[in-house]
Amino acid sequence: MTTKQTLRAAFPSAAWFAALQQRMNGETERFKRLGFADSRAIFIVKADAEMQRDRSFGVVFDTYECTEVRELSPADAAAFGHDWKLEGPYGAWKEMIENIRAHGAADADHTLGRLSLLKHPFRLYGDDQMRVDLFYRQQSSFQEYIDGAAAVETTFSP
Amino acid sequence: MTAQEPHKEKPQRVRIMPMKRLTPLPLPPVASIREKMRQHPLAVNLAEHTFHEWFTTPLNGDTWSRWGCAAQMGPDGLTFDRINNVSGAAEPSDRGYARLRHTRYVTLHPGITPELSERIAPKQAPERELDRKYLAWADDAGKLAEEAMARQWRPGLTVRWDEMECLSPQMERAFDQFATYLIQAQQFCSDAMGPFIGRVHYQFMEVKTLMACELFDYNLHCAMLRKRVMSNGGGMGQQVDGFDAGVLEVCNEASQGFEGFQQRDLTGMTLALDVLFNGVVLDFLRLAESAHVSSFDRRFFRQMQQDTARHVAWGCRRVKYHLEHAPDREDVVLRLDCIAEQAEAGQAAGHLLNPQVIEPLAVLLGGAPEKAGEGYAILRRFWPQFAGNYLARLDAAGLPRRGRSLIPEQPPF
Repeated sequence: MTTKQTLRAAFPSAAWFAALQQRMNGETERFKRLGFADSRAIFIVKADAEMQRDRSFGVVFDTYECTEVRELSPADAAAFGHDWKLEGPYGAWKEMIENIRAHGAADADHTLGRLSLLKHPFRLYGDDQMRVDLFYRQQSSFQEYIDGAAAVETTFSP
Repeated sequence: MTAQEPHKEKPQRVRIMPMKRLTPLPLPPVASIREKMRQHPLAVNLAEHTFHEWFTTPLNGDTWSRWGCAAQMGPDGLTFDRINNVSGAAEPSDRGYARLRHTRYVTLHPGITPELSERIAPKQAPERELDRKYLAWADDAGKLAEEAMARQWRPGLTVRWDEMECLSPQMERAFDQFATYLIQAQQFCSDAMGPFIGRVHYQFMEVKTLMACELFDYNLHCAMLRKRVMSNGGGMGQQVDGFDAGVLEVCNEASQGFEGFQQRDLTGMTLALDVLFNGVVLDFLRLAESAHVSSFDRRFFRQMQQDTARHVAWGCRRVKYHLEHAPDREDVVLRLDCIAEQAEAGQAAGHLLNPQVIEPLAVLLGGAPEKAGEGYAILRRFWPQFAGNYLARLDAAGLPRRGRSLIPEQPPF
């Protein structure tokens, strides 16, 4: 019998993304069923009325695991070597996380694909479209990673 | 309904010379045939349990290809890359062997000189058509093939039919019409690219595997969509025509009808079919996933997106590799530009403005036929991405067409 550990973290923070990492790496079998995922992603939380400055987090997906999570300064972000960036205002992130917490996984209106469909409120982009397309090729894994927020008791501290 | 046309003889496309019927020679007695078989040197060896040369040749050198291989499994399993690393032939050579099915992993018999190899190779065999690396290869082909095998849709494990939800009759009708289009689109892709697989030389195993997975994807998508459409109270919709405009013509030219022994244009086909056509299908699938459909249907569209995005990735890599390695780059750019122009001109109207595709999608996005206006508003906002994503992919592949592309960058409605 396994005991699920309660994960707590503030958003936005590297600790919050690391909590998702911990959940992903603890459920390798679930991610194996989706197939391997290799991406260097940057998640950007943009400043808005509730938050003063932009925050960026680099996340590395390697095979069935998340191997790296760290907050990036603008200089770090430039050197991170990203495949794709997913960017959205703090308010939209907060709504998405609350939705995932309420439903156990993102509902139809709060998936990464839906939120970035019209480039608003989220925007998916990168320097090389062939690398950006990695998101579409492996998006079930990335959605599953973000859906891990359902298991993270999140406090919002912009 | 019109009466069925009388059966007509299919015209022969290849003229077969009439052959004179031979009178069979009288066979010797059965006992004599059996005795001769027993005396056959191969039968004698088998009877004496004498192994052939495969067992006696030295394991290091001579005709044995390689020994002591112990590819290590990584977290991603035993991949092409891991096998290639111990094979002594990690990269394919620039040209495939003249002998058919001779892969880069197997040592050529020293008794067969290049001249002899050329002489004994069949001249009409399709494998020889795409036997140059620049004509068939792509960077990361092995990795992409692994991804295809690892992430390919496995409906037996993931689809729970008892979770399928009823839609209102009007929404089901829109879904079924859109799915009918998708089925036809997948069938078109399957027919257009499938026969190319046999034309790619076995030197490029990774590419053959990747293309075989792509062919399987198309047919799996068809089967799954057909099951979905036929099991939720609706049924197949109206035949969709014209969505293949421009691309069909390019594929026909690229394949030369798969007749005779001549060069086929795999790159031209992948540019039109994988980069442009599948790029549009991918965008339609993204829209459909965000529409007012059930969670069950949404998972269908998401899985199809992943597979389709992989097909797009293969197309981009193929075009990029060809542009970087073809000996006559300027001619290639000119030819690919012409192909893109032809495909774009047809797709702009035939696919992107096809009412049997756009209208049901607008209904699904709006949530009801009377809310189709909301769906069209979403389509108008989304529209710049059709051209934007396509042009960004061409930039990455090394075939920039900004300012020249015929795919409208703004919605024409």
